[in-house]
Amino acid sequence: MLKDITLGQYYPTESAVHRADPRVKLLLATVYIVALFLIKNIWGFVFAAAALLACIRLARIPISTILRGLKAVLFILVFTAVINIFWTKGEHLLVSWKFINIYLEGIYTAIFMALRIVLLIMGTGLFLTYTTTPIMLTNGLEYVLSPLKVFGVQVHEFAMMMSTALRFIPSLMEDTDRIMDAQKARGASFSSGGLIAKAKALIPILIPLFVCAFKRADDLSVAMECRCYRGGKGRTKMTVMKFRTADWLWTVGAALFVACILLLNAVPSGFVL
Amino acid sequence: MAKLELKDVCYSYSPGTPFEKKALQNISLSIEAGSITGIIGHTGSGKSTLVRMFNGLLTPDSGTVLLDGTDINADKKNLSSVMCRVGLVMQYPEYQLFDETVEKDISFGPKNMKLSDEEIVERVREAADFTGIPSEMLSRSPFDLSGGQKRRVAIAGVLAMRPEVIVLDEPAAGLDPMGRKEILGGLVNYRDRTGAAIVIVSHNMEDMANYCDKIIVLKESREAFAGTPEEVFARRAELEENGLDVPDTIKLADELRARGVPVSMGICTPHALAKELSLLLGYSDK
Amino acid sequence: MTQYEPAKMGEECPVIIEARNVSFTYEGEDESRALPAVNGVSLAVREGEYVCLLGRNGSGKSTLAKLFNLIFTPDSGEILINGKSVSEDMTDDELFEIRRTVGMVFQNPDNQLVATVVEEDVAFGPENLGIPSAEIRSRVDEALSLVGMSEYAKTAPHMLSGGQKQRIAIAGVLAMMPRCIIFDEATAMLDPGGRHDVMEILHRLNKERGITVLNITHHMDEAISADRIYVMNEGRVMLSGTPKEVFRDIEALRTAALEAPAGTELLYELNRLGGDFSLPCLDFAECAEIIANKYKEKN
Repeated sequence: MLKDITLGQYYPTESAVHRADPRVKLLLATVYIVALFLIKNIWGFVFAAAALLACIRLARIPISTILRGLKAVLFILVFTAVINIFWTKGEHLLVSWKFINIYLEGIYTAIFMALRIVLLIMGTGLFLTYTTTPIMLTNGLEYVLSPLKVFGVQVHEFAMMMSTALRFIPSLMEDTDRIMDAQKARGASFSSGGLIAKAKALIPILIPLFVCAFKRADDLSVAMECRCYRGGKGRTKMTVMKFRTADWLWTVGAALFVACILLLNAVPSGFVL
Repeated sequence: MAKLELKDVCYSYSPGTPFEKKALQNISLSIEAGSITGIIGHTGSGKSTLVRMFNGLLTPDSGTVLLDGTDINADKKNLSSVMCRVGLVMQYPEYQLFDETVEKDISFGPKNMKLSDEEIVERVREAADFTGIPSEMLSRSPFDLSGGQKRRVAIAGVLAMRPEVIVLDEPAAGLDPMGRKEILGGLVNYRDRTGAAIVIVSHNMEDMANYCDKIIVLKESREAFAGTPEEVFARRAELEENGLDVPDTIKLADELRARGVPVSMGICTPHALAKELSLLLGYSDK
Repeated sequence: MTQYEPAKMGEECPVIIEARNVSFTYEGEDESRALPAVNGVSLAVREGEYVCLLGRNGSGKSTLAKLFNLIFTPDSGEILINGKSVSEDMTDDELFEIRRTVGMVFQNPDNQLVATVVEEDVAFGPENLGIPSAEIRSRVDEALSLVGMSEYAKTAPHMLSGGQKQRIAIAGVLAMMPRCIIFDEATAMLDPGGRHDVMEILHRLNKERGITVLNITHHMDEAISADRIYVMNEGRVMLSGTPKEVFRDIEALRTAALEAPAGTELLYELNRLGGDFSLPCLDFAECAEIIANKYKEKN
C-alpha cells in the first residue's frame, strides 16, 4: 500500500531531538545541507555520517524507518551516479570503449554525489519531518520567515498551506490507490503501450485525483472557516516555542559540526573533489 | 460447478516486516451463478482485501481463486480479461468518474475490452437502463450530477462490461432509503436478466436480509460461519459479540418472543414478520 | 473558565437558530433547473433542545445547513443566529461571533481535520479565537476526554477510523465551547459502530452538558430521541412536531421518500393486513408489548 511509504511522516516518541525547538531544527537542517556541500573529501562524509547516526540514535528512531524514506529517491540516486560515471572528465582514465570514457574522477564524483544525496535526505528527514510535527515545523518556518512580512509576504498563509499539504499526503495517497484500483477493475492498463499511450492512461487517474483533492480542499476550507479561521490575525498557539538550554547546545553543536567539516577538508586523502 | 470459488486463500500485508498484517487466513468459499451473496464482518475482518481477491487486483499468498474452474492468477496476461468478467464496484465509486460526458465515462470499461463502436453504444444504453439513468443524462458531464446520480453512473460503468460476477462494497453507502432501494433493485434486475452472481459487502443488515440468498460472516480474517439470512441472523449473540448488528426485524422478533408471542426463529425481513404475526393474530387473508 | 453550564430549561428558552420564511435557489447555467432548493422554510431551535432535521437526499436539508453556517445567504427571508439576523454586510467580527457559538460537524470525517496530530487539530479552533496557551491546553484535554479519545491525543488522524475521526472533529468544535452544534449528516459515512459512538456523544452533550443540537440526517432512528423533528421534502418543511406526532403520519413520510422507525412500520403493515393498532410506536419494547397484549387477547 502506498501509504506505507514513510517519506517524511512524524515518528511519535520522546527524545531530545523531538523536544528541540523547531526553529533550532530548521537551523540545524540548513547548516547541515550547506556543510554537506562544503565537504571535499571522504573524511568529511565519514564524519557527517557518524554525526547523523548519533543524532538518529538520540532521536530513538530505528534506522530502518529513516532508510525507508530513501526508497522514493532511489531512482534519482542511480540516475545521478550514472551521469557522473559516464560524463565526468578528469585525468585518470580507467576504461575506454568506443565513445564511452570512464574516469576515476567520475567514479569518485558519483560516490560523493550519492553519499551527499543519501545523507541529505536522511538528515533533513530526521530533523524536519520525523521528529517535528508539521504544525511545529510550520510554526518554526513562520517565525523564521516573519521578517518577510515587512515586504508584504503572507508568511502565515504560506505556512498554513504547507502544513495542510503535508497533512493530506496520506489521504491523497489513499485516494490514488483507490482510483487506480477502480480503473484497473474497469480494464485500464498502465504498463502497456508506448510513452503516449502510457500518458493517456494516466488521465483516468489524474482527473479523479484532482477532483478528489479539490473536494477535500473545499470541504476543509468550509470546516476551517466554521472554526473561526481567518488567517494569522489574532491567532495564538497551544504550544509556545521557547528556546531552552538544550537548544543553545544544539546551536553550538551545529557550529562545531561545520568547523569540523572544514578542518577535515584539509586532511590528506586519496581523492579531493 | 460454482461460478467463483476461493480455496484456502491467505494474504498478508507487508509480510516479514514489523508491520505485517494478516488480512485473510484460509478463506474458502463459493459463489453460485445467479445467487446474491452477502459478506459481513467487523471492521478489520478482511472484507476489503477479500473483495480485491475476487477480480485479481490482489494475488493470494497461497490458495487459489477459481472462475468457472480456472485459476485466475495462473496467467498474469489473463488478468485484464478476468477483471472484465468479475466486476468490482468499491465504496463511494463516484470518485472514479473522469470523462467529459456520462456516456463516455460508462464506455470506458467496454473500450478497454476493445469492443466495436456499435457494441459500446449498445452496452452503454443497456447499463444506463439497468441503473435508471435517463437518456438525457448521457450527454451531461458526470461532475454536474448529484451524489446519487454519480453513484449510478459509476455502477453503470461496471455493468457495461457485462460481468458474470459483480462484487460491490457497500453499494448503498450514504444513500437515503429510496436511493438504496433503487441501487439494489437495479442489481437484482441485472441478475434476473443476465444470470450473473452478485456479491455484496455491507454493514446494512436490513439490505442483507432483504436481498441475499446466502450470507458469509468474516471474523478476524477467517470465515466464522455462513448460511441463509435466517440461519445467520438467528445467531444474534455471536454476531453482536463480533461488533455486528442484526436487522431491526430480529430485534422486534426477540422482544415479541420474550413476551410470549411464538414468532419463528430467524425471521429477518419486515414483510415476513408482518405476515407471520397476521397469522398469529388471526387476520384473514386480504 | 472551562465549565460547561447546563442550559436552564425555562419556559422562554432563547431561540439559538431560526429560519424565517427562507428561500434559496442555486445559480446554474441551466435556467430550467431554477427550482428553489429551499422554499419558504421556517424553523426554530431553542436552547437546550435536540432537534432533528430529516429529509431525503435532495430535500433541501443540506442547503439549509449551508445557510445556517453562513456559506450561503438566503435569497429571501431571514436567518437569525442568537437573535441576530445574518446578512451579507455583516462585519467579520460578527461572523466570527456567530461561528463561535454555533459549531458544525460535517459529513466527511477526513476533510475536517487540519492538523497532523490529533491534539493539535482540537487546538485549532481555540487558537483561532486567540485563547491563551495554557487555557487551550486544558480545553483540548477536556474536549478529548468528553469524546473518549484522550489516549489518541498524539496520534496522526489518518490512522483513525471514520468514527474516531468524527469524534475528533466533535472535540475540535467542543474546544471552542459553542452553545449549539449542528451535525450536518455527520453519521452518513460511518459504519454502524461509528454511528453509534457519535450518537452516544451527541446525546450526552445535549442531556448532560446542555448543548443545543441540530442533527441533519436521513436516519430515522436518530430522530426517535429528538425533542422535535422537522421533515423536509422538495425544499419545504412538510411535517414538524414531536417524534410521536411526526411518525404517526406514515403516508406523508412515504411522500418524502422516508420510512418510519421499524416498530411503527410493522404496526402500519399489520394494520393493512387487518389490525387496528394506534401509531406510532417508537420503541421496540413498546411495540412488542402492544402486539403481545393483542396476541394474548386473542388466545
